[in-house]
Amino acid sequence: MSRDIVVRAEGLYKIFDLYSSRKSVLSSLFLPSRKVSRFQALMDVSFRVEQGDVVGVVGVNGSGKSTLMQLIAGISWPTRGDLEVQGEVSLLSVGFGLDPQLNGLENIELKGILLGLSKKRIQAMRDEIVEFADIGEFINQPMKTYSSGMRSRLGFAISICMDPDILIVDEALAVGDGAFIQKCFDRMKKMQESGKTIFYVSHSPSTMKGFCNRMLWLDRGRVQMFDAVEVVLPRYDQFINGMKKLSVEEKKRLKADEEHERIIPRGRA
Amino acid sequence: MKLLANLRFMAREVLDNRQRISRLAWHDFMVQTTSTKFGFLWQILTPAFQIGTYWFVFTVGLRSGRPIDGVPYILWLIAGIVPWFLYSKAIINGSNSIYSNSYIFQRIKFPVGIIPIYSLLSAFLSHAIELAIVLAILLAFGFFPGFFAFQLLFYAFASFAFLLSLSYITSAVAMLSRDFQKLLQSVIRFLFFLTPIIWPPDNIPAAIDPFLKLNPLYYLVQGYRDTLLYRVPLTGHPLYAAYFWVLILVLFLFGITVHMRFRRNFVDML
Repeated sequence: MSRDIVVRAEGLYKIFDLYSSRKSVLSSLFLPSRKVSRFQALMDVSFRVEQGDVVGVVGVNGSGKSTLMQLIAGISWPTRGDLEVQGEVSLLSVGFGLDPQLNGLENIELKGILLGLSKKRIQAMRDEIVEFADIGEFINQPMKTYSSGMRSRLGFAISICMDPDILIVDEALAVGDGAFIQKCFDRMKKMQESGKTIFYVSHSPSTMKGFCNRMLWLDRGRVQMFDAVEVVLPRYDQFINGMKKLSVEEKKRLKADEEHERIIPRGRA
Repeated sequence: MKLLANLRFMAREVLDNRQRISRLAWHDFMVQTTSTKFGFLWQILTPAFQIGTYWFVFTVGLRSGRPIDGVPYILWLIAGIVPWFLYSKAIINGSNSIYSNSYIFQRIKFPVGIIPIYSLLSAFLSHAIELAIVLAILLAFGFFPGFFAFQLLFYAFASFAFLLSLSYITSAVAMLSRDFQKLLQSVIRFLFFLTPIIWPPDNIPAAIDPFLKLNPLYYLVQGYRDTLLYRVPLTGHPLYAAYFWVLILVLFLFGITVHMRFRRNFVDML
């Protein structure tokens, strides 16, 4: 039986203008966009994710993981290409917290209002969130006093309790402790069983074994591999180990290659 | 037509998010009033101090401040400066609105078009409080406008239409250039003296007056005064009213166009 496709990406490109100063942003309005050099954060990205998939997203820094997650979450838009997303998406990224002056409970309420939830629903979710986050008295303190771990606990609790169709966790659990991460995994497992789709972005792919069923490996803004975890993980490990062995000279050359590939110099279409 | 499609899109967005708009306006207002210990008191004290300063300068310092068309200068000043408090605050807040709310649409999918609306509505809540105080003062001095007070709704709506149209333009430009905010502050200071707020328009040579009237704030401040002090009906200046609404329409359509052109780029401009 085939499942519904919830995310379908076809030839996605995300291209940012590289400005040397704020002033040029303004002048770009009056000049053709070819006057500045541009950076291709994503290049020709295509993949399909089915309902109930748990997709581990890996790649080195700057490979386009977060940019892609923002596109899926509907926060930013692709420059070119087609992206279809079915259902409500919730993106949890590092440094969660809407208003640092407000305390935890107020932030929960604000987030609920921003998402357009009814008062009743916010009220109902509050206790569940507080219990899951388990940060004690800090729930009544301004969020600026939180440690990064507490921030991530509350953020995760809120995202989970909003019960989205697609949950994206972008490195947000990296700062949590072992026990909490296990609790989150258990909870996400439950979500998956009820037919939710999860994107899990992480630098430590070892955690993805047994949790994710598919793996999306991004490299230099392109899809390097998209397959079952058992297929991608060994190859990715191999790649990372290979990178570690490179000399400084070789790394420099790779970086130059990458810039040549991803940066469109000014004046070129 | 693109313009029509844009209008339909914005109307949809506002209708679908009615609840969010009103709750966020209230939230915005409450954050501003409760961020300080005497928050609510400052809502009243700040304008009172400002009115006191101008009154002192004009009646004590400059020894002018004669009654204007039979109304004591202080009352005349209050009726014109209270709408100005709204304008100066709302013009700055409006241009700032998208930038200062960027933490929202950076993190969740959010209808960016409602941000200028609820930022503005929050300023109108303060305006409503201030107008209530003005009416109480007028009542105490025996200048209560009676049923004409209902005209305030019309002038408040006209102010809203002007400020919202302007906000759609300025909030987009402010995202493109951080310098714009500084420029706008100077323009507002200039506008304060260009609009008959502390000086009566009769003092102006008749040849210059039509040029000053190009400024839509002139129409609005005059409207508030006509309503609060002189019992002039809405139909008092039909030609000027026509000019004002045509200007607002053009400004609004331009604002929507600018907003729609850039709204998908805002998140990448941060």
